[in-house]
Order: sequence, then C-alpha cells, then structure tokens
Amino acid sequence: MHRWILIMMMALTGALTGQTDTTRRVEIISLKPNKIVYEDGESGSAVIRLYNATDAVMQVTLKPTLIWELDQRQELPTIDLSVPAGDNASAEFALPSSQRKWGHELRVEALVDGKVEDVGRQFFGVNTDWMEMILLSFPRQKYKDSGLFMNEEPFTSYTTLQHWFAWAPGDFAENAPEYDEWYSGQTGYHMKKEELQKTIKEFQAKGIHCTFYNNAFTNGKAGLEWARRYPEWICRQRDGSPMMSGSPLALTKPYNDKATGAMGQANMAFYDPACIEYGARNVLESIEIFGWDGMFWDCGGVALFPGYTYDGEPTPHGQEPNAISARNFRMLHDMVREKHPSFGVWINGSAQFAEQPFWSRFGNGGGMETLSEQMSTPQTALLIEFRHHANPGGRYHNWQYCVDQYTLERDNGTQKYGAPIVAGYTTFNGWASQSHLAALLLASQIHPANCHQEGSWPMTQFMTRYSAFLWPKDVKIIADPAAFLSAKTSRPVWWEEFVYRRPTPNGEDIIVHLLNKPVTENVVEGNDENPPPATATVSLSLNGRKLREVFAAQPRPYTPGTDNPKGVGLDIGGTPAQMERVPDPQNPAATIWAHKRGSLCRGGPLQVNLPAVAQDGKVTVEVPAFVYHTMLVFRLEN
Amino acid sequence: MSRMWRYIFLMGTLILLSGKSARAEPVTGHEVIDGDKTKLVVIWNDLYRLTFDPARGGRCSSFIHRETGREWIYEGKTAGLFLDHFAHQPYPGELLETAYDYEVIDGDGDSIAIRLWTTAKGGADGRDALTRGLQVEKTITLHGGRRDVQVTNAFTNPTTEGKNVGLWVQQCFGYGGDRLYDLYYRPSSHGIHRTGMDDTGKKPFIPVTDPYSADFVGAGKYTPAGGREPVAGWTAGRDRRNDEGAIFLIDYNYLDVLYNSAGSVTTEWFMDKVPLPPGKRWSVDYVIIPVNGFKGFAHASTRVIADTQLTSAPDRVDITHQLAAATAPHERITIATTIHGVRSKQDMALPALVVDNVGLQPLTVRQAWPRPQTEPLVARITLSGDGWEERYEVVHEGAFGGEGIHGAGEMAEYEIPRARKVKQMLKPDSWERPLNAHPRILLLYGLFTHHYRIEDAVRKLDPEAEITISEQWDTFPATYDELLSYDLIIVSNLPAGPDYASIMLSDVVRYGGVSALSFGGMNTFGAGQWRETELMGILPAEIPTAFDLQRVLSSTPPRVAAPHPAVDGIAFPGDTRFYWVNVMVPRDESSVVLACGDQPLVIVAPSGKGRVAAIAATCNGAPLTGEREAWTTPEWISLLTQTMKWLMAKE
Repeated sequence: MHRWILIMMMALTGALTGQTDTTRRVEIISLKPNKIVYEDGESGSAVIRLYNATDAVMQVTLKPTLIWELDQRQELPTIDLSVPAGDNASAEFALPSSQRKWGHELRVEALVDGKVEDVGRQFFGVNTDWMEMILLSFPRQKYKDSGLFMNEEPFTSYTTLQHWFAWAPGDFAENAPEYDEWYSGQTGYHMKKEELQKTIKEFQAKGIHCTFYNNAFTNGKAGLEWARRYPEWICRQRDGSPMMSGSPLALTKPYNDKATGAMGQANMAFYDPACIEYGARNVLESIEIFGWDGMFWDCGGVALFPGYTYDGEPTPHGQEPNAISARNFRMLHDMVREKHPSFGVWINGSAQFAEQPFWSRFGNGGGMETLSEQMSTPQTALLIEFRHHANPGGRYHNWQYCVDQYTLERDNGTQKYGAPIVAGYTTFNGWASQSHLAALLLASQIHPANCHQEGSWPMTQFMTRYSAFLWPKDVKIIADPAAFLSAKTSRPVWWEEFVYRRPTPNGEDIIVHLLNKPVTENVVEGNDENPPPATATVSLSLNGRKLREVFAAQPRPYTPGTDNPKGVGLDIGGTPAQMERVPDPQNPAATIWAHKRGSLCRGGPLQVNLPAVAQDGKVTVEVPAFVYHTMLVFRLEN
Repeated sequence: MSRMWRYIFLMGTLILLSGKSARAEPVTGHEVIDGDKTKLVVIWNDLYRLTFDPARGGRCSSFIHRETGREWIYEGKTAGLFLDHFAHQPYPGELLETAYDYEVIDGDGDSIAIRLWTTAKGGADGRDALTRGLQVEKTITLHGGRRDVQVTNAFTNPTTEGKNVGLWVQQCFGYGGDRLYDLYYRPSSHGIHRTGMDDTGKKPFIPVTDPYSADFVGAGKYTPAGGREPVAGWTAGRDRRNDEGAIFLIDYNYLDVLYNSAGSVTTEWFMDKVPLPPGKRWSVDYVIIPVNGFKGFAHASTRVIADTQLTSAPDRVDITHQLAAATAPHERITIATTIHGVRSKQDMALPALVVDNVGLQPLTVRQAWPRPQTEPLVARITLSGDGWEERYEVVHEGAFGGEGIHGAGEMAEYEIPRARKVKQMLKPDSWERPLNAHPRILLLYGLFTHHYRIEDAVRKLDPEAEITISEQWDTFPATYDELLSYDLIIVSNLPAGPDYASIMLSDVVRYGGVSALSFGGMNTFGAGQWRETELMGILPAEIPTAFDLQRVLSSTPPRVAAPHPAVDGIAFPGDTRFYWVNVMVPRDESSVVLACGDQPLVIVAPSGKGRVAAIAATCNGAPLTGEREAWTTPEWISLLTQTMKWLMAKE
C-alpha cells in the first residue's frame, strides 16, 4: 500500500499516538522565526513551543544560537520557561539583525537541571534581493486554500514566494482592475480586492514575497476591450488578422467567465515605446493597489514578438529586434524599480533557445539574447517550465538528459548573466525519484517550482540553510575540475558537472556536489526505493594553497509522519509529529487537525567536519555514505 | 532513344501494365456470398479483390492485393474502407452501421462497380433536420488492369426542405497487412505533416514535439490547426518496412481537414459543408492509388506521384526526387527545382532534370544544391510533361528552424501558398421570399459588436422587428429557405466564414433581394480574409490590402459626403470622432454617403436584387481630451436606422 495512504489511515485511526521519545522530559515541538526571508540587517523574532511529557511542572532554560555559513555562530540570550505538566508552553524571543546574507540556522537547546533535553532547529534566509532566494514549493492543496495553509505554517515547504496565477485579470492591459475583483482566467478563482490585499500582507509578514502574473498578451473581456482602444499595439498575422490565441467569441461572454481568459488572448506588438510606458504605469498602479513585491512575465515578457503591426510592417519596423526587446525591458522595469527598487521579476524563457533567430521565436521560447538585458539586472529570475519528468516519452524523463539540460540552463543563464533559474512543473510522486531530482536541482543552482512533495522538504530546507554555497553570483562553475580534483566512488556518481569556486576573504571554497546516480535510466514515478548508498574518496590538489578544513553536508533524509531516516551514516533522531483534532476557528461546529506534539523542527540538513590530511600538496577525504547527495566544501586559504 | 522507339517502348509498357495482351477472359467480376449474418458482395479486377458488407454501412470489409494475397483491412469492429459520415455528427454517427441497398454495375469485363445507398434517418433520434430524408450514396469502381480505385460519393435531397451537410470519409486499414509501421503524410501550408506509431504501435514514431508531427491538417470546428491548412487535395501513407502505400486523391476545392489517427490506424478527411436545396444532388469523386517503393510523399495528382527530400551535408544540400506515374506512364517528365532561402529571400534555380519513361514504379533521381545550408529552405518544384505542368513546394528547415518555421507557435516563418478553392454550389429553383410584417434581421455577432449598438438602431426603426443573433458563423442558417426569410443580414466585424456561407449570403442578396449591412473593425474585411471570398461580389467597395484597419487621417468629425436617405439630416457634432477606419475603394456603382476627410466611412450600393452597405468606420480607438467617440452619439443611431431603412426599402 502506498505510504501516504498508510499514514493517512494511521492518523485517522489514532494509531499515530504512541511513538513519543520517552527519554525526554520536555521536547521542542515547534520553533519558528517570524519570517522565512529577512531583509539585510532586519531584526526579527521567533516563537518556541515545548511539550512537557511528565506529570510535574518543568522549569526549562532555552539557549538559542544563530548559525550561518558553515560554522559561524552567535549565542543569543537564554530564556527561562515554565512548562505545565502534560501540556504546552511557548516563548517568544528576539532575533538580532543578521550579520550577513543568505541562509541561517536557528538552533535552540532546551535544558532542564542543566541537562540538554532536546534541540530544535529551524532555517531562514536573509537577502533584500529576495529573488535570489526564490523557492516555490506549494503545498498540495486547493490553490485558493493554500494561502491559509502557508500562512499558518510557512516552514512546511520553505517556499519564499506566493504567486497569483494566471491570466489575471486581463494580462498586460489590465493588472489594476477598476472593478472590485481579482480574477484568474486559467485557474478560475475570484478574490475581492480587500481579501487579496489582506492575504498579501499576511504573506509578507511571514517573509513570503508575492508576485502577480503578467503576460505578453492581453486577454479576457477587459483585456480585449483595451485592444479595441489600442489596435495599433496588437500583433497581426501575415494575412493581416489579429494574432489571437483563441476565439474572439470569448468576448461575448462575461469578463470573468473562465473561457474568456483561456480563449481570448491577443498578442502584443511591443515596438512602440508608448505601449511599454502604458504597461509600466499599469504595473505601478497595480503595486499601489495590492502591494505586490514583484511579477511574473509569461511568454518572454516584453520581448518583441515576431509578427506584423497594423500597417503591414514586420514588428521590428526595420530595427534590430533584440535591441527593441532590450529597450522594452529596460524601460518598463526601470520605471517600476525607480519607485520600488526591490521589485522582483521572473520571466518565462529558456536558455535552450539562446540562439534562436527572431522569426523562429514564440513566447516562452524567446531567445536568451532577447532577455540578456534583463537577466543581468538584480532581482530578475528566469523560469524554465514544462519539465514533466514523470512523462514517459518526454525528453526530461531521462536522467542523463536532465543533467545535461539543467547544467546547460545553468551555464547559459545563471553563470552567464547571474540570474536565478527556476525549474517549473517538477512535481511527481515517489520519494526516490523526487530525491534524485532534488539533488540535481540544488547541485545545478536551479530553484524549484513545484507542489510540495516528501522529497521536496529536504531539498528546500537544504537550499534555505546553505544558500550561501549555492546561489551567490560569485559562485562560479569550474569547467575542468578533473585537473585538480579526483573522486573514487563506490558506485556511479555525478560530480564533475557540479564543482564550483566560491571566493572568501582569505582564499576560496571549492564546492563539490556528489550525486548518487539513480538505478534506473529514466525517472520512475512512484518509486520509493532508495538506491544503494554511495561512498567516495575525494582528493584535491592544493596548488600551493593551505587547507583550512573540509565539511560535508547533505539534506535531511526526511520521511513525513514516520521520521524514519532513509539516509545512512548520520543519525538525526527525533520523534514524529502528532496531530489532534481541535475546534475549527472558522467554524466552531467542526474540528480540524492540528499539530500537538512531536518534531516539526528538530530535523535538518546534516553537516560534519571531515578529517583531512594534506600530504604532498594533495588532500584526501573519505565522504560518509550518502543516498542521494552530499555537498563537499574544501576551505582553502591563499 | 529515338522518338519512334520511345513510343514503341511506351506502348509496350502500357500493354504489359494493363495486362490485356495476356488474357482474353474478363478481368473484372463479382459474386454475392454468405457472410456471418448477411450477404456480402465481392468485386474484383486483376489486381484487387474487395468484399462489401452492405448491412454495415456499405463498408468494404476486405481489400486483398491479388498478387501478394495481402489483406489491408485488419480485424476489428471499426475497420473498413469507404466509411462515410456526416461531418457534423459525432462518431460513430448515423451511417457507420446502417444498412445500405446496393447494385452491381458490370462493365462487361472491363470494369466493375458497386453502388451503395441509404436514406438518412436524421440521427439516432430522428431530430437532425440537416440529414433527415437525405439520400446517401457511394459508388466504388474497379477497372481491368488499372491500379486506381475510383469512388464517387453523392448526397441527394429528395425532400422539400433544404439540407446542408459536409462529408467525412474514413478509411480504417493498415498498409503492409497489419497495424504496424504505418506512416502518414499530409500536405499542409507549413510543409508535409506526418504521423505514425513506433515499432510497437504504442508510442508515436515521430515525437509529438516534432514540428512536422500532427494528426490534423486544417482547422474548422474539429481542432485548432495553428495555420496548418491543406495545400493540395491528397493524403498518403506507407508501411515503413516495405514501402507499400497508397495515395488518396481528393477534390481540393471541397477539402476541409486531413486527418490520421496513427494510434487507431486510420486515414480520414472532412469536406466542406454544401447546401442541398430540395431536389438537388451533389457528388464528389476521390481516387485511391495503391503504390510501392516510395520513401515519402510530397506531391500527387491524377498524373504523377512524387516525393522530394532534402538532406543537409556540410557543404551542400542533397535533393532526392522519387517519381512515378499515377495511372498511365509518361514518356518524359522534367523536374525543375528552385531553392528559396526563407530568410535571405534569395532564389537559386538548379539545372532541370529530365526523366524518361516514367512508369508506375518510382524512379529516383538526385541533385544537389551546392551550398551549405545557412537558413530554412524551400524547394519549389515544377514537374512538366507533354502539355502539362504541376508545382509543389517542400520546406526544409534543417537545423535552422526553431518553432517559427513550422508555426508551432502563432506565426509560421514561411507558409506554402494555398490556391483559392472554387466551388460550384447548388442553387434553389426559386428565390421567393416571404413578406414579413416587421423586419426580420439576422445579426452575425463579431468582436466588439456591442459597441455598435445595432439593436438600439433596429428598435428605433421598428420596435417589433425580429432580431436573430448568430454567434459568428457557427449558427449561420444552413439552408437557403431560412436565409431567404430575412430582410436584412448584418455581418459585424467578422472574418470570412465558411465558403458555403459566403456563397449563400451573396446569392440571397443578388438573387433573393435580401439586404446586407457589414460593420468594420479589427477582424473583418481585409484582415478577415474577405478578399478571397464570394462576399467581394456584393461588397460595394474593393479592399486594397489585408492590413486595412488604418488611422483616420483627418481630425475632424464625420461629414455627409453625398445626399442620400441614409444620411438625410444627420450632422455629427464637432467634438465627435472616428479614429480607425477600414480602408476601401468604392466601386463605380457605389455611393460614399459619409466620410471623414477623404476616407469613406459609409458606402452603399445596389447589388443585384438587393442592397448593401459597408460601414468602414469602426469603434476602435480611444478619444483624446475634449473628444467623443462618434459611435456613442444619437447621430450614430440615426445613421444606422436610416441606413437600414434604405436597405430594406421596397422598390
């Protein structure tokens, strides 16, 4: 029987109640900073909750510590807390402004009578340029309900972004609706303005940034009504007809009819600066109304579309199309960022089509050359969508193809321009395949956009904690690592594609990702069987530099509900989460499941300092067994 | 070879191919045999033996190649040849399993034919008025010594009601005697589209991401085709193992959609709808030509079958032609090829190839374009023989395509030109119209029609007027009877509809005296491909360009351009404007009654027994400060009311 079904059945029958770690008198059952991503230098707070498993009141001393980089620490003031017998108690404490960017761990020891009873861990990021921390891992719930769930528990999936999708409400022409509703044509959801404003504020209070959907089309009744007013900005086919993705019949339906969003798109001919200026003003107005942190550009954004304008001229109007596209991005985004400097933009595109000539482009297949202007600016990311790894026959069904393509995207996108790349639609079932993919994504600097899976948590948690070793622009790929690095592995492992150099004040870190190869050639959906663990002996030529230390880190081998470690080599311990029925605050007549006790915070990435000896200008380390992934960091000094 | 020897050789080949020198007895024949439950009819010639099951839709349930003994029709309930359907009825429709009557027409040993017919019941529940009572007929003919199979489909309307149907033909069979390895070819405006399954028959042989992979070629109501329209009247297929295949020659003038279901192993096509007035009969022919040895298909006609494939080498592009006669050998065929660069727009003519003695088996000739490929290429090929010439094009994107060349997105970088279809529609015997007490108006409702406030104008004209709204062309009247019952037909900002609708609309204006009023906009007239339709025959103006929606050049209010009842007493206020207009050139017999500067806004004219008006003014554009859209004013309503009144005025 599938594990999820089993877990659900156990929970429903109350069977999941007796696995408490009886050696602990008190346990930390929740630890949450108030944000998932802080701005640079921003201070915050955290709430810790403990459960007293005994029949006596417990006086607990809490010792919080902030940890960043690999080994940087800051002790925070201790807290004394009295926990009633057989009950919960919580405490809130201040988090000082962080001393540097990227990932942090908040670790809290709970001591009773001087003895450590439990240790809680939680992870967050610090970066004003929050697009660099972009993680989309949506809980698998109905979309319209996801806000509540994520707001309640933002650390469920470590997602840093909430996105309102798609064709909403009229694309390019209509992101600041006059009517009191926000509408998504593709998903069919409706929200009143006030509800949306409130929800956005709630997300932002948790450090989750909010983006809206924008497009190189205008659609729906509102969008096409705009097209009526500005026919000079609508792209034409070779035969003079408007370039529309769907039937204009949609216009005879109400503006909020789902079909209008799906069927009434008209392509924009972005040759006219006045059109771009209109779009920028519309975005600014939308930010004014809703308080967005950023937006998503579908179909390549304001890149010039191959087609004709109303006068029969090809859309470039005799100019170089890439130059017009670059002008468009610069103009629109500069106008918006002049007022909102941290406004984030993520653009649908692909590095695979980097060389595609203008007339061969369509929307998301737009050439990277077109996007280069924008990809080089801060707060801009690229979405590569349609992975569909679990589809037999699809290109991304093959593991080696995945490796080749993700590294190609990395090299042509992140490494070339500095922009984060987000891989879309990577959701499928199966612990083992998900974990392999997770390892591949984080090793190739790719940010996920998926629905949260059991294999997602270890990945997103690791990405949050070790973002400083994954995503800074100065983490550069090393083209020929075999020249100074070798790895002997117990079974097939990918590593040569995943070696990076990261400058440090006194030298550099050499980062090596070791990926255990899947047993199967193709992605197998629903596969829950771990591959045989791999070990490795890795040697590095120092080339005159001095070795400071070597660390190995790997994602937490987490399986929900059971907390049964699937990894080997490092024990994480912990007790399972336990749920109980509590009154539904929105409907007193009903009850909902709520977390009562058990670890939601103890497990985290596993990190060890490896013994290493330098000899004859070379240093060799034995890497502990890993099932999916290990990140090896050689810290070198000049 | 001298001309005389060539002639002798050709005649000899003909005789050998026809097989007539080797036999004296008839080569065609028939018999009636017992099937499982019903009588089966078998007809044959010296090449094929066909078994028909009249009780099951008159299908051909067995097609055997006599030389090899190979059966083309696989086992299965859906299998068979010559399956006919009404295109508007969902599968399986009312004809697939219905019983047909039949007769065998014996051509004294030189030909044999079976005619099968039935009377449509009007769908499963008898409520389909478009088919109820319609006689459906098909005739399949074999000739002695000829490899082509000739088919005629016909609809006869013996009822007193008008009908309007499209023919959908299915051929459910497998080349090579099984369901595996079949590959299908369809000529589209974006190149030859192919479909087929892999060696297991379970997955597509051509990945669905391949730009030239598609099940459909053509749009219509069945699928969005992304511009992939048929450019020729043929479809073909072959078995990848042994190159056994066939060409289906179809009447391009009535061809709507070409389709293969690779998974279900079918070859199908949908034909345009045709109106069938009472007492009228419409028929269409197609031909099946089984062939051997072709590696692909790029062109086919009743004369010749050809394939042209381009392969890029580092320093050149190799071009391989295969050529065979369709039914009768050719003494000589000349192949003239010009290579066209899609991006450079450069043409380079290659030396012509002369191929002698082209028989029924394909001959292969090769040539090369002596340059490295640097852009998508189009090979424009002209085949010519004794007094004839045929042309076709082959798109070769090589490594330079991306998505644009084949139009997987919105815009194909290159489109093969499509010839205009020429139809001979059946006309009613009488153009009489009822006398309506109040105007009956048909409004074909296109984009932004609500801005024109047509209903307000109609109510002002006659509060009891009857307005029927048709969403675009989807519910356009199917019969002349219904169309003639209207006094006025309004087409509002719509692209050209199906051929039958354009022809019927033009007919009822010219011969029936119905009036027509057309409104402009972004989607109609030039941009709506009206220029290629019968509608141009009644429109009071020429449309000079497809990009006909242009800015109004004068920043002045619209003015009356000529005295006319349509504009009598109308004066638009000084702050009213039109911003965009469909440019038109009035015909000699037309009157421009409203204009802005020199640009016509309203053009009227008589058209046969009817009257027509074209509103070139549009509701496009946004007003500047201090201006009003002219179409929001009372004067606009008055203009429409008076125009409609003139249009419907009785002489």
